[in-house]
Amino acid sequence: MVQNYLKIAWRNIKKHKAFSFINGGGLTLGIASCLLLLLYVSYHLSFDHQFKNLDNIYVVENNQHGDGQIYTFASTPGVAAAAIKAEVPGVVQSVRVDNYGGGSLISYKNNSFKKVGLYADSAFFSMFSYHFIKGNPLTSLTQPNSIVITADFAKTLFGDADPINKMVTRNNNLPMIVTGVIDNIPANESYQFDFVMPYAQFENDNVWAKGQNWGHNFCQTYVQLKDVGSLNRANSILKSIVARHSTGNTNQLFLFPFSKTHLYQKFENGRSVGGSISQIHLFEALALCILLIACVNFMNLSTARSEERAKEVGIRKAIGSNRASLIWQFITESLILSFVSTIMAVIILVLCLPFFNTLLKIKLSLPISDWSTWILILSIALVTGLLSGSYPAFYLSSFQPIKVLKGMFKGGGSALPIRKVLVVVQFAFAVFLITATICVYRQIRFIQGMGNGYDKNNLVEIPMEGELGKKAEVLINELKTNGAITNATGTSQSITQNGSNTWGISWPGKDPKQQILVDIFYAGYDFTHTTGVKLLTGREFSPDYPIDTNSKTPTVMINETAAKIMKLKQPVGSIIKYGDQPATVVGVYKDFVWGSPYSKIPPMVTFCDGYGGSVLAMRLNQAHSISSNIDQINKSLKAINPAYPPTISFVDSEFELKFENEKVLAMLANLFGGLAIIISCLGLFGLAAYAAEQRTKEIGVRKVLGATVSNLAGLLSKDFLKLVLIAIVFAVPVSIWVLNKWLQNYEFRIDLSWWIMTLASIITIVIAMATVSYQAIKAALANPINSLRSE
Amino acid sequence: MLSLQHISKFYQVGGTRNFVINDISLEVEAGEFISIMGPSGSGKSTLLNIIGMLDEPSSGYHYFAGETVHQLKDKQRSALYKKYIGFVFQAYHLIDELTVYENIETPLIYQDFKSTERKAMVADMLDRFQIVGKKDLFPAQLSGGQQQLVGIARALIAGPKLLLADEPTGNLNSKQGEEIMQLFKKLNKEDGVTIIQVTHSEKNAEYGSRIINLLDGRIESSKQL
Ligand SMILES: Nc1ncnc2c1ncn2[C@@H]1O[C@H](COP(=O)(O)OP(=O)(O)O)[C@@H](O)[C@H]1O
Ligand SMILES: [Mg+2]
Repeated sequence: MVQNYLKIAWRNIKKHKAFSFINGGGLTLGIASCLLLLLYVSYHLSFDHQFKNLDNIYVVENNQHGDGQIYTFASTPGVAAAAIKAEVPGVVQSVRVDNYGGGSLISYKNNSFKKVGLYADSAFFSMFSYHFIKGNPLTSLTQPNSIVITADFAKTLFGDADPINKMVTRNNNLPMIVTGVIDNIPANESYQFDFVMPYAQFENDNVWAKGQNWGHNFCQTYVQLKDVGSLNRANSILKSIVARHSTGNTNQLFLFPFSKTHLYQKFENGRSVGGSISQIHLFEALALCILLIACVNFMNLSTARSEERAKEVGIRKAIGSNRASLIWQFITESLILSFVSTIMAVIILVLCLPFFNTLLKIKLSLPISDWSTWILILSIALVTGLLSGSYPAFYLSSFQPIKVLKGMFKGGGSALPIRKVLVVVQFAFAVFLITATICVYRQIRFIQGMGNGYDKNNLVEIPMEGELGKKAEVLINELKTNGAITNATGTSQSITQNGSNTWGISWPGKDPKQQILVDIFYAGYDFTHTTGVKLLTGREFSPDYPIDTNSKTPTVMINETAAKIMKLKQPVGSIIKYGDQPATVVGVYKDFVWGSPYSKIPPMVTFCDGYGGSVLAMRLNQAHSISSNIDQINKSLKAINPAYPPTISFVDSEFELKFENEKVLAMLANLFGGLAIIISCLGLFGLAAYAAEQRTKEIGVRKVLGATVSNLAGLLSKDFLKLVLIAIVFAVPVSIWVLNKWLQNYEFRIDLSWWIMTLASIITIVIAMATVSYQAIKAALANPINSLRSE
Repeated sequence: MLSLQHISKFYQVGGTRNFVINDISLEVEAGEFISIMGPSGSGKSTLLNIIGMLDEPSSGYHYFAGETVHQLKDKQRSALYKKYIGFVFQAYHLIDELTVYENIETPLIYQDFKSTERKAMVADMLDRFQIVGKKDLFPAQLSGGQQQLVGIARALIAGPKLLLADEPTGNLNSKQGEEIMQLFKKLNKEDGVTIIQVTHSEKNAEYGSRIINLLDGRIESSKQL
């Protein structure tokens, strides 16, 4: 019996090749898109999930009150970890982790590599179950000069030799001994590093971090609890732990599940309010919708063909088939097509993944060895087959055989409204996705167009590491002399990344109760000329003014927002205070984007670091080509700072990274919107072909009576145009609502102007009509005699 | 074998009932060969379909092989049909996607015959109708007469006790028609299959043992030959 179903199903598929291709192709695209999205979603859902103790690992979050709000961040005092372990019952272990300054030059024999490192307490590897290829997780970080490296880094350093107990040098001076080799870090983990060093090294590198200071938040603290039951009690103790150790400090700590840090990163008023998880849910919905569209297509096309199949149903019933076996027959057909499509989809997916990965800069791969993957894929095929086959199956098998055989069956009498509804739903979805794509792109453009306040082109940055810390002036002069750069300045960090801020700035006339968060940024001489930040009044730091570096009252520059907030009559010359330290304002510069381009620029105070700093920003000389400038810089760097491989980053491309998330969103909306539209059009194409076929005779007669091709094409297209218009009517308000909600996330945002909707509607109409009219014109051009003879 | 009592079938057209079968009562004994005649639209096909349980009467009593058909559920009715009845259509109604062999085989599949049994039975039938050479062809590759032979072979494959044929020769030339009538006669005489056929041809009607004339949904006359 089953064999018979299979045979017939296969013959049917073969006999109607175009139909099967459109039908199966739509499903293939739908399933491939759905799988791709699910892969993307599961990539993010499984972020940081590889650890055994995951359910009991928490990150310590810090609630800071100020400005009438609560700011939440995962940064704690260095002393917190030990205090928590000692004072909170149910804490199995606590670990401090820091990556500030962890990037180091690691050398072995004559080879040096700039790599990313972490500092961590020795319990790190017993809390986070990284897999050790060599070495003992429990003891690997106990000695202060030990270092644990990843497999790839071990290979880079030592080739095939055994890495254990090999001695490497960190930052050209510190010997360290390899005590462990772990598996490479998977891409979907928050901490990306090449090696881990003991936390003691952090305190060596940053002397200020030593000691019992509860007011200084700089490291991450992780806590492993005995069980979930300990959580509430732990949180109630943590709430007051800072205040108990440091009177007057209102910061409150609490535990947040480590597994959630990737997707629930947004806090408001001290509470978790989600984060990217909503985007993930969006993609889940999109995956489902695309799959549904593909299924809807399938049903649409299958029922459209019901008239042809009806005869077969009638005969089968008349020779003894019951309804159940007919239903099974149609479901079998649908299952075959869905399985073939699924197989094709998996092939397409595997072929497209590398492309998709480069596009989104992530590392997705189909987990082939994981049986749950195959169960998921199989169940998608099964559910799709059943879902899309069931409607035609039940519908077709309900025909009364004798009516069909007497030719009294009029196809679609009952199916047509449903088919129309399905087309409307598909195109409403298409309109929404097109609108969303345009809106996201416009929003990104808008933000990019707002300007960043400095000239990011021809601006490069290099880290001030090794010898360079002392010899920056030499390098700057050398490069200026040989014409590679025109200006240079040292900064406390890259101009593309925001760094520290403080409540501690005060100024004459400030309400003592008012708390305002001010960004602190250090810049060297020639700051505005190098970066292109516009100086509004006063002057910038310069070697010509010794007070910039050697005065007891340091000089500062402030940004425009700071000047406005401080309401200083004459900003230049005013004295402000950073804590108890007075400082003289010497200049005001125009606001520039330091952190997020999407939010308001906070007030900023800039201290002078002379030729110091941790990053050297340089303006390339435009008289020469970029590559020759870079060559010069590389050459000088190698001479001045031979131990470190030169790393030059271009500020313009670093700045672009700020738009990464939105770009990904736009790209995904674009890609999957496009796919959804293609799938919908395949469906429409099939339906139009069918409608044209159905009306072959009518068209023939009309043509004989004198109708023109455009008359006929119009006649056939009209019905579909109506459906698309209805879809637009439904889609526009929904789009406006959803996109307005999305735009609320941004402080600076575009208006959803009417033309976006109009454009999306026109695009949809044009695409739909192009699809339909191809069939309509084809039918209209056919020789009427042929079509009339076919009766 | 079967008995119809006061069977009527009407269609509601607007406000009025349009009787297609009007209070027909009919007894058929096993082994009979009945020809139904009558002008087009007189209700012949409808009557045949009702007898064959492909259509339901609006009112009346229907007994078949000892069962009270009008009280049976769909499933039971279709089981009864499968067991006893073979149907031949004027328009052949072969399944286009299946070969001759598979078309003939299909009813056996629905009746859960084993594959080996099916093979033997279909081979037998192909032999009997001398269409072995055509077994792998599709309906579209056959002439009308050949298609009807396949249709009949399919109707007979499961060994029905009652063969219903609605204008089986309507689309054939007279020579082909005659062959089929010879076949029916042989089936009736040698295998004892009860046959009810609808026909427009006096000559073909006379192959039967009784001729029933329908007019406007009533039996106008009935003649034993
Ligand atoms: N579904 C229906 N609705 C209305 N009238 C019908 C329907 N089916 C059949 N008829 C009518 O029933 C009558 C008898 O049909 P039929 O039994 O096919 O006649 P015959 O086979 O004798 O030519 C015809 O007049 C036909 O129009
Ligand atoms: Mg008839």
